[in-house]
Amino acid sequence: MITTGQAITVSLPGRINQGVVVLAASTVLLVAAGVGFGSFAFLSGAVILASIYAVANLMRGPSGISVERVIQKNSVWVGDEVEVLLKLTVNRGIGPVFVRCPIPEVMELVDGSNLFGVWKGRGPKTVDLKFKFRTTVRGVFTCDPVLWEAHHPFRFRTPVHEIAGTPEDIVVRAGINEISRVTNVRGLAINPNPMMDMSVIGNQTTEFREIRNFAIGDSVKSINWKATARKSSGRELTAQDILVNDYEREGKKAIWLFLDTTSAMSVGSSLVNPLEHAIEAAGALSFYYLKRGYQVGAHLSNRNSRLIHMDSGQSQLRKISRELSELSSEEGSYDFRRSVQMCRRQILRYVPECFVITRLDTEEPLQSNQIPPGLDSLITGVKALVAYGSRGHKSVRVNIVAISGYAYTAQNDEVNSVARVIRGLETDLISRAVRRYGVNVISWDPTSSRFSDLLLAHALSGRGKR
Amino acid sequence: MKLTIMSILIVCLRVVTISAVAVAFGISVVGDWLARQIPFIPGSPEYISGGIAVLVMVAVIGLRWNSSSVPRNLTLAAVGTFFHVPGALQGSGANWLNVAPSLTTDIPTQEPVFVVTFMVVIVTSVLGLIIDSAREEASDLLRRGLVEESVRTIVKQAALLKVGTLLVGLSVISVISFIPIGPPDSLPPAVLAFVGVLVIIIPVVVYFDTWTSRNVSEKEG
Repeated sequence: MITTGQAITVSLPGRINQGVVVLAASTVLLVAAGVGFGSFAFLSGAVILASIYAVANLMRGPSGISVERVIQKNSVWVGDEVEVLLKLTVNRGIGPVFVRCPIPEVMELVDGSNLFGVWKGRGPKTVDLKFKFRTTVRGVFTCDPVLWEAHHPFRFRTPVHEIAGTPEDIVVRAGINEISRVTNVRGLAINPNPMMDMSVIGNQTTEFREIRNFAIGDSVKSINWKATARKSSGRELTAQDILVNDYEREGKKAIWLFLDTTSAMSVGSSLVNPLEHAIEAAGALSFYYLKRGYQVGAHLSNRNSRLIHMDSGQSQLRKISRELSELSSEEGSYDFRRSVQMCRRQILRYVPECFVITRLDTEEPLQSNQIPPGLDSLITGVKALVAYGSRGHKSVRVNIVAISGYAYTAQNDEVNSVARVIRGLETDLISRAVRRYGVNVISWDPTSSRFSDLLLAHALSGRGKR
Repeated sequence: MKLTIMSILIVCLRVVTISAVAVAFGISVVGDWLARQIPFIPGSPEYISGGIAVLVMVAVIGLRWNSSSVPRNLTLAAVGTFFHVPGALQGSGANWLNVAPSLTTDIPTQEPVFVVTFMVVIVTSVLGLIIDSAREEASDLLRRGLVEESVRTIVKQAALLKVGTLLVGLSVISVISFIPIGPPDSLPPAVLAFVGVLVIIIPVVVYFDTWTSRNVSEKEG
């Protein structure tokens, strides 16, 4: 919860506005005319205007204003609704007070408005103003300070406006689609990492994994008494309060993610583009495998700083989510070969199953069953990965999640539809050529299916074929 | 629906303003003289001069139709005041200052009529300004994205406050009317004294009261 507040106690009346000049001038002219012509009619009119002038001038606009902003959550997921509460207090004066709470442009207002108008009567007024916005895209966004503006009731003076509070950051993490497991389909496994071969039944190592809630079957020795005492401090100890230390299991499998963040992934709009969907896929895969005790590491494009070392548990999921949230596209083309070289040590040590999330439709195929020159780097990288794995007993399995970039063109345009179909056929040729190197290509059109549904369909179709 | 009611109210106010101006100009000596210069129009001179005033006022309203609230109503009030000048010249001041003896009439009851018509012009112009500015403010706030309920509250409260201030002005006039006036056919000295205090002293005091803070905010700006 973020709370900011600033009390403005100094009364700032502001400058006299044009309206008062018109009224004053009319009054003076009528007085002059009344005295000059000796007319009681003009003097009567002058009295009315002078009375209005005097009363309006004696009134003070709202002052002694304080605004406190409370944002319920400063770390949310994409698609979450964030409630913002503004506590407005006006102590003195009469007139309207306007409050504006800026939100990042890419956010979507879902309930209420972030612009408020409150009429301040005679007594002090305190009012709670609420609105909600929905996060539409991941990233770290800054909410600018709250602005308030106090108007004189007759608009005789220019409005007084102030800024309250400080900018606040909101971290929006990429959404994670939970991937379903296929359990009731019999057939030969095409995935070298079956779900039940490790973690739960493996022997515990001495490598600490995380602290979790006690479950039936846990050893009493594994209870972390200090953490349990902290959790249940000040109240009676219950079964839900007991926390145990969890250690890594032997035989734990590893997953490595390669994510293409080059400019080729930025086609489409700022909200819907291949990069956003690649991040969604990376988040879903991380969540799925980390939840099952796998070790997951990642390399985000061709930058050294974006290498996330192999680890497991919730902390690793948080780390990956944070890195994904701060990801932005980069200039240049994707050099997968270089990425593999940078991750060489990790690959050799863990021999992980690799997922490469990129686009295959950036290049046109020259001939059937031939790899376009632009994808040479990808193929060389795949060969290197397979070579690293073959040094030991295990082998590195490579999956390419090929996001369809042409799916982001306008859907209702017939020309675009034809181009999309042709491009899809061409990409199929490329995919077929890439599969020759032992790569599992998962073609994904994000505009027509969710990633979790795609994996499910892929798994089912794969088992059926075998 | 509300806009329609406001539009009807504005039209009624304009009709009242035009009628008051027409009456004031029609019964004035200048209006009478002007009507007699137009022999080709049959009818009573009061109606002819009143009709001229109506035409001019309608033309002014038409010309200022798309203006903002302040110039629209200010122009209307200014033209209405202009048509009251003949009436003012033949009032008590004419006898008092003896500046225009030819305009002095034998009917002393005309001056209260001019007072009433001019006050009607002032009050209807101010009311028109209040309604027009409220409509402008409401559309402006709605355009900026303010919730309709808040807009309604703010505009309603502001309009009520302004109408209340206008009522204060009218009550001051009614208080003045109880003050004994001076000799017949002369300006009431009590009125002059009161107007002098109200019109000159209070604005000066108010102006200097805000002098310091205005300078501070200007320097800060």
